[in-house]
Amino acid sequence: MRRVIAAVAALAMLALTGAAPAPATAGKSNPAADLKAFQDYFKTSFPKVPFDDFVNGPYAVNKGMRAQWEQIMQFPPYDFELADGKKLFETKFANGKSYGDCFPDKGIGIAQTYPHFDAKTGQVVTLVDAINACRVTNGEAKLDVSKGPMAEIAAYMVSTSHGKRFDVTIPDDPRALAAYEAGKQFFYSRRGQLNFSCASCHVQSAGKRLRGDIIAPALGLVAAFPIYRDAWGNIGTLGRRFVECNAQVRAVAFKPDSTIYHDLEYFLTYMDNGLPVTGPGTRP
Amino acid sequence: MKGSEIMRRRVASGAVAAPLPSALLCLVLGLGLACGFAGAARAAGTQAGYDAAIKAAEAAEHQAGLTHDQWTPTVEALKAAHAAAAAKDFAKATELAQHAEALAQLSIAQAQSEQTAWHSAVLR
Repeated sequence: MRRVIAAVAALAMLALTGAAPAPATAGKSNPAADLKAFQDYFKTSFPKVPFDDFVNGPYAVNKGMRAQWEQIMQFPPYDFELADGKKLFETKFANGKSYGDCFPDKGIGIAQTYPHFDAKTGQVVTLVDAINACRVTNGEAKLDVSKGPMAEIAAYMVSTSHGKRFDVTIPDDPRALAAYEAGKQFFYSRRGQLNFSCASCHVQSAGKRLRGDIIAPALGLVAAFPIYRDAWGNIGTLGRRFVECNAQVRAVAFKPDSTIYHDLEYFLTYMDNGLPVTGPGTRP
Repeated sequence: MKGSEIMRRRVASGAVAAPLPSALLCLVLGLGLACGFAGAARAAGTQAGYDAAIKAAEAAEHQAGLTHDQWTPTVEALKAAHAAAAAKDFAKATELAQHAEALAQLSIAQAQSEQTAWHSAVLR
């Protein structure tokens, strides 16, 4: 009887004070709080991994893979494409201008601020987008956003930011927050016949084996892009990897430069804020 | 003790499942036969049956597209259904179209569920 009375009293108190638990969906978007929770989770899950080392993905959490990677990096497999990217970046367009003319600081050491939100267009702009926009502005055709010259140019630009810390901003603009939330929702939503979300692998199974691979933690996941993947045999962009990941869980992928992938990149890169840029990188 | 009495006691104790009453047995057998006939009819396959099945499958896949959650096996099943129909194998084509529709319905259910379920996975 006492328990019943206590329960009734508690319910009455809740009703009077309106202190019912808030649903998970309630509340304004709070990227800063998300960032802290996200990074704290991985710091706690992998206490022996130094914060900056998360940019090395699976090599940060598995000694065997790290040893192999260190051997591979004696002669990085992306070196030739990186050199090609530098050449392409420095080659002038038909109108005499170059990529450097489209970016602050001539495009050197700026990759850590991408993606960013463009208040004029209301869109998230990735580095790949900015490179293509530069080409269009100067009368050149757009490049394939997955691989080839685009990945090479992006790799060179990213390499000039090597060691600089990611500093992606999410302005207090409803459109920017909506893009960030869309990326966050995509990251945590299960899709495809295998019923996997990005988080299923890179949060809940981070550091575990998936056949012969070690799954990279979500923290630092995008810090090494563009990457040379052994599975590709060449260098590719983050959009290319998103397409591949979705196909692997048997979901129909979006276009590599689709809005939803831009939003996902916005969310994930923001989660890497404070980590050093390490791209281009190499992965199995 | 008679065999029937032993059985009655074992059923009562839960050691074995009760035998089906004859009416229920007839019903089960009847349904089984009906299903068998239906399967045979489906296996025969007609253009009209295929047309209805592929229309339903494509409508479901279109709906899945609106939820931004389409599955690659659905696309493959639709493609295979069209190929089988082109080869005039309407039994196989109908079966593949029905499979595609089932997959599309599952992807829609997944998308609808994830509209709220994803919140529970967010790191806090």
